[in-house]
Amino acid sequence: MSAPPAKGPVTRLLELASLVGLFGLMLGVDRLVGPAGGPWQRTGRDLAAIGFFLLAGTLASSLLEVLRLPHLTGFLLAGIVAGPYVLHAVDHETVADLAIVNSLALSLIALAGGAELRMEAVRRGFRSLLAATVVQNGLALVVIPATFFLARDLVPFTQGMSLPAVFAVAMLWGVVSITRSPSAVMGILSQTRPAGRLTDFTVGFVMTSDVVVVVLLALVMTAVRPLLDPGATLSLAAFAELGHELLGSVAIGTTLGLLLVAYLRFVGRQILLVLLLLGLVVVEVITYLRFEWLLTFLTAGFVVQNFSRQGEKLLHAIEHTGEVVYVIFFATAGAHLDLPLLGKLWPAALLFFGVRAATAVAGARLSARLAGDPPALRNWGWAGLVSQAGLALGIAARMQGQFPTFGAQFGALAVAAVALNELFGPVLLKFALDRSGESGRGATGEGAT
Amino acid sequence: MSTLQSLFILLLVAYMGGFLMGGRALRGRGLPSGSEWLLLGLAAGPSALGLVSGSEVAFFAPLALLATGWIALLVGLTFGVDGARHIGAGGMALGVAAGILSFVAVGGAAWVVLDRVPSAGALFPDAGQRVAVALSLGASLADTSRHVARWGSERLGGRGPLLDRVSDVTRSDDLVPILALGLLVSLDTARGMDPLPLGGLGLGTLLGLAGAALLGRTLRVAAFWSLLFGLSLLATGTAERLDLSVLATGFALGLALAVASPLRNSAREMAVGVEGAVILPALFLAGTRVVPVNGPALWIAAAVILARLGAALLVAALVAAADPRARRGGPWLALAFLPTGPLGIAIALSVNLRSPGPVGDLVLATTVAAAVAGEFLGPPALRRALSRAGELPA
Repeated sequence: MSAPPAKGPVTRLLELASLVGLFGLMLGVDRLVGPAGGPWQRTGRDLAAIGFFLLAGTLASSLLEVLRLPHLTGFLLAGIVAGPYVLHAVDHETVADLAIVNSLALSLIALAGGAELRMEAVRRGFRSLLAATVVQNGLALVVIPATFFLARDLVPFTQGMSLPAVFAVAMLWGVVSITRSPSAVMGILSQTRPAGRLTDFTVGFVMTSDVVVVVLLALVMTAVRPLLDPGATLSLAAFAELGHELLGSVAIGTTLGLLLVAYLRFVGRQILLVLLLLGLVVVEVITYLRFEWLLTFLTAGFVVQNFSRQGEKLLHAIEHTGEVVYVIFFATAGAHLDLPLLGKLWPAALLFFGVRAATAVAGARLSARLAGDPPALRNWGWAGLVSQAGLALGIAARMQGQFPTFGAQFGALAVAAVALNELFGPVLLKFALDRSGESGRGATGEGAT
Repeated sequence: MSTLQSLFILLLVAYMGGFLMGGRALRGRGLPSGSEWLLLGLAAGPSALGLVSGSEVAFFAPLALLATGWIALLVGLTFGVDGARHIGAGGMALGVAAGILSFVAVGGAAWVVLDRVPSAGALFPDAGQRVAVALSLGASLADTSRHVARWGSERLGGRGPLLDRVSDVTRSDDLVPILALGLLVSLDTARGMDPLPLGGLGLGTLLGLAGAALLGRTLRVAAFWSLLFGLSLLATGTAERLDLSVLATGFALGLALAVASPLRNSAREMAVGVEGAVILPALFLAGTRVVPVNGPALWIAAAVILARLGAALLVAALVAAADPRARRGGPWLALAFLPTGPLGIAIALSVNLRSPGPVGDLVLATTVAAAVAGEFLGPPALRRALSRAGELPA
């Protein structure tokens, strides 16, 4: 099957004009409608915003192809520009309403991530993954808290804290900084369709890193709590709960995976609706049961890929659904980015962004040397580890509940740092995949159909 | 039942819809237009078993609105074509005339009852409300289900001029109710918005032309769906915000896309492939919103359904006059024009969403009753008519 023809200047101009027209339409309608209220207005606003994000994200990503930037950046930029902090074509309330897309998108990402983890590739790259997991996380948990501790003057909410308390907050910041973004990685993969060692490593590392982060978070929070709350004692009960959560999630994920295999094998139709059911309903059920649904879906995808012949079918279906869902998800994420806050905290955010990226580069070099990795991994293994998104913000939000005295400011700093990682990470990963020659190697040619 | 469970049921209905109405062929199960899902929704809704509560019905209102816009888009995208066959000017004129006839008959009947039966008129003392009731009922019952003709060809295997004429009418009469509703909504200022006559058609056309230009000449599946979903959502949301008819906007969007895009055939095929997954949940949601009519409102409902029957007789006569070959179907042909399909329900649902209360309730309940009656009477009648005309395989 032949690839679609390249877009000419007329098409690009048309896309640009349409993008401008879309913004004009949204802003014009806002002006025309004015303060008219009522539930029908809110419904209309929400529906129009989803449509707008889909169209504007698709157009912006297509236009950014000229600059060889990833589609994901286009989705994010469309959201940022349209969002409440720039043009205000989509307001805060609408952005909050669109959060329903998040669980759907993340469940697809986790399923796809699990299905991308091929046993063969994991086995082949096990040494690299193990070395990278130990080195990257170990290094980050030393360097980043140390940086935070030394640069505490840039962090307003640490003023007045005792040194042990600052150390404790620095450790918590370290945990936030080791989170990665499976969504960004899968978004880039769905565009570039790569194959090779770098791809396998990035998927393997990023997907398993969620589990590592959850475990480390419980460990660090248990250890530092007495430093932040003098009345607290060291309790290991959290670990029992964590073990129950992780094992239960894997068990449910295995069952779900086997059910998916049976469905794909014996029915194989209406997969889109099954994915919607998983992303909108099953997620809620798993959350209600207090299990980790990302891990559940990751396991389910892994089971489908490695214990049946249905993996490609599942990936194909997710790819089709995801291409629409990801646009809305990332555009909404872009609209969420709190630019004024970034403007206020930029010195600290920039410092932590730079140190985190540098740690990832150094960690990749060191772990690649230890594992004897090929040049592609040695040079570019770090590129997929820069992006951050939902999990980091989720942990930050959890801090607000756990540590009310500084949690809100901690969360604000996390938002500012994640904003930078979210903007630059995908660009770096795409650049790395292009430079290592892995982009397009996994293409099926379907894109042209 | 929780909202989550309701969502589960809705997805299940969509899933079933995908199986029963997926692809180009109506499968061998269920009624042609899926009216049993209306009844299922009615049974599950707050008016009957209460499995779906009032708050959940309200929660799903945006989905219902979206579904009406998507149904209208599909109607616009496939307007004037029957599979690979293009309906000629004569066939279109016949369909439009049939639509006008049904609209006038049903709307007129509703108006007469409201005007002449004091107890019925007392339900809607305001003249504006009476006009809204009459026009809305006229619009929702002016359409003949296109699925009946599809059922005749795809499930019964019928072929021939009679079935072609039925198809011509059912695929062209949609224009009348959509225009009528578009005009009615855009002139209504009850929501405090300035009137914008037929603004929905303008908005839909603009978006459709832009969509056709962006689709280009090469079909990229992912881009196609992003574009179609995006345009549909934007059109529905913007129309709602500007207080324009969502159906007129969706229809114009689909029609403009079909006229202007070189990829119209692929677009039709792909969009029609998912219609079941949208139509059946929409019917189910419409069913959950039904509040059965009683008292003097029954007079209006009865008169309107009788008028619809009378209109079907007149349409059959019109078709027979336009094409003598259609006469071979005999008197059964009249009943074949009785069913109102998903578009009629979408119109009634749209009125119900826009005007919750007595007007919306009466229009939806009456349309549902007419649709269910038509669905049980129409297809067997069409089978007999086709059999008489020798258009069914032996």
